[in-house]
Amino acid sequence: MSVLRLFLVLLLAAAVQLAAAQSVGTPFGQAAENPSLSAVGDVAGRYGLDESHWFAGMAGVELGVQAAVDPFAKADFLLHYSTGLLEPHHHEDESAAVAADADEHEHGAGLGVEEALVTLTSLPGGLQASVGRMRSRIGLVNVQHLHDFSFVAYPKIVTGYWGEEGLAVDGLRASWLAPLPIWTELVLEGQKALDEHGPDITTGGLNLFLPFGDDFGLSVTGFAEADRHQHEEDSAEAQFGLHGFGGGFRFKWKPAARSLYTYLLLQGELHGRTLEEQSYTGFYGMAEYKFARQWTAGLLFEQAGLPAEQEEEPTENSASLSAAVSFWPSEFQRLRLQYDHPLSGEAEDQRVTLAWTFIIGPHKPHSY
Amino acid sequence: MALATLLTALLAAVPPLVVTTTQDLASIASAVAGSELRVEYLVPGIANTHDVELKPSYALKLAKSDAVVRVGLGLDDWVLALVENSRNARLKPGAPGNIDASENCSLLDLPTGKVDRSMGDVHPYGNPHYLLDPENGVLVARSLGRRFGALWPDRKVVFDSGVARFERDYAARRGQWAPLLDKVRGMKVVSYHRMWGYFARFSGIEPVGELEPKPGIPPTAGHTRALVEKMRVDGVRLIIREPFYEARTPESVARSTGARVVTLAPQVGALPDAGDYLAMFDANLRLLAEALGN
Repeated sequence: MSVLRLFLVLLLAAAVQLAAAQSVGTPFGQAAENPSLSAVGDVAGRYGLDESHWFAGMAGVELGVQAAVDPFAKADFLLHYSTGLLEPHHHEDESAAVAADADEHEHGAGLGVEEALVTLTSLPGGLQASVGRMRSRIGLVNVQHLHDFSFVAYPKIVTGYWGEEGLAVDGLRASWLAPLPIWTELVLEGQKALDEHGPDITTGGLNLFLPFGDDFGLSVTGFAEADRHQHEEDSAEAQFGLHGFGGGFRFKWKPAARSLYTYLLLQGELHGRTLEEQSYTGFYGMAEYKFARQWTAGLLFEQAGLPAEQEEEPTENSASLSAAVSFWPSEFQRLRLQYDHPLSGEAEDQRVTLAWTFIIGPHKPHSY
Repeated sequence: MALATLLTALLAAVPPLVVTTTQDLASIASAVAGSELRVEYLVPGIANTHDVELKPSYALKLAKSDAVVRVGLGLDDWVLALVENSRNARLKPGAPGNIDASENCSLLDLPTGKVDRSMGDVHPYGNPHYLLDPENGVLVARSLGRRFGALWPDRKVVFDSGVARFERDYAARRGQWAPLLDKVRGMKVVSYHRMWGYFARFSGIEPVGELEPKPGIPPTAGHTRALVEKMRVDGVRLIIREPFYEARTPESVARSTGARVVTLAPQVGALPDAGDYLAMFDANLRLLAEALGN
């Protein structure tokens, strides 16, 4: 991991030099061929009813390097350093431990490669293929980077079923755009484990988009996931089978004539997952409304069956409601205040979080 | 065999599809291509091209097209992500079907020193609103004629005559605009966003400031107070508002200064009377002259 840290430092140094070259107002010369460099920073503070839950500081940094390799391929590298501050179970003592050793991955803390992939962009027949590490395109939220989501943490169906930061696949992705009058995309992903204990993962998904004039759009998605399921740590017994599924929708109203000032986003997903021979299902529904040029407000309701810490009761039902208000001083920074209210479990789990996200560099636009 | 021949003939009869990012470019491309090409655009003129929702339906339209025409200079770089999603190799940057309309235009606001975001959302390759000068519209028409001719050599004669017709139409309109241009020349104006420099070069109006303190940054109370003072000192009588910006701030400044607010079309389709590229200048000059005359 220290190699990764060294790589990050070298990359940051290179970023400073290249950014200086790119900042000169000419499209010519060496700077025109440099890759796009960007960094996204998150500073956050959180207060919980349990008074030991008060802390503030750097929550994470994402560093991106993206460029065309040649006329046939492009490469994306996204490194993420997280202090674990915004992880659901963060405590002050853990923060100290994280500071002492950033390589630890307790509760998502540490330095990691979020994505590192090369994409073949010139395949025929509506095909596209990527190889490397990538956020899996299961559902709608898993593929999003957290700073692009409408709330300060991923929904529990993502973190509880697929991993602290969602599902990432080390392998291959192929997608096919069907020659139909509406956007119809088939996606297939595969990860072959490097050793017998690692997971083999295969996912398949279907994405549709229905436009309704210039102002409305509806995305519908469905997916299934199969993996090799190890029953016990040292057991040779493993079954490859269907262990995950899900579907969702995203509806957005964004009037073209007033796009700077308003939109309404309605989104929901339902996921199912088999973990340790137990089946769990959960869902979330959210709404986000832009009510002024610099302001948005959002509500998130989620309910998920999750693995409980007590083995005698393997399923814990978790339901919560979150409300967030975001202020954008400019297109490149955002302040977000979020209140999380548990509808099940302890009242002490109520939390207020203030997160400040800022972007430098040519942050790439994201798809719908 | 006969069926295959019939299918080939039918496919050959369908004109190639050109997709432009904006309605401005679609208007000029249609004028050049006539019925030899099908021309469609992605973003309607009523929308702000700085803030575009990247819908998969846009990528689908690009997947079916033979060429894409973009404004360039960073204004519509979002189309590159759509081109990638479209999986259409004909449209990739550097391919003949990826046409940057700015390549031969006469540009303003080319930075000469360091550029960063402390200056707001500036465009390091120059101000991208160059189509608000009709002389640049003519340069774009010529450029599209050449690029379309290279892509479809068998239709080059039609494209050349389309360019010549566009130039004649512009020359005729220019004559009709002369009295309006005489009326508005030297008029000091304030606009919401820094996008009227090219129109000023063409018409002789004099922009003295913007409601946005820096490009892309919403108006602030302090900047608005300073602007009101400057408008009083400079005797500014008009505030230009682009239809996709809110009306409250310009109207408030107008009340404080005695200036009038006039809503102009910064691109084709932004106002009902701006239905094509040259009609956009008809409408804008008429609205400016009317605002001065009352």
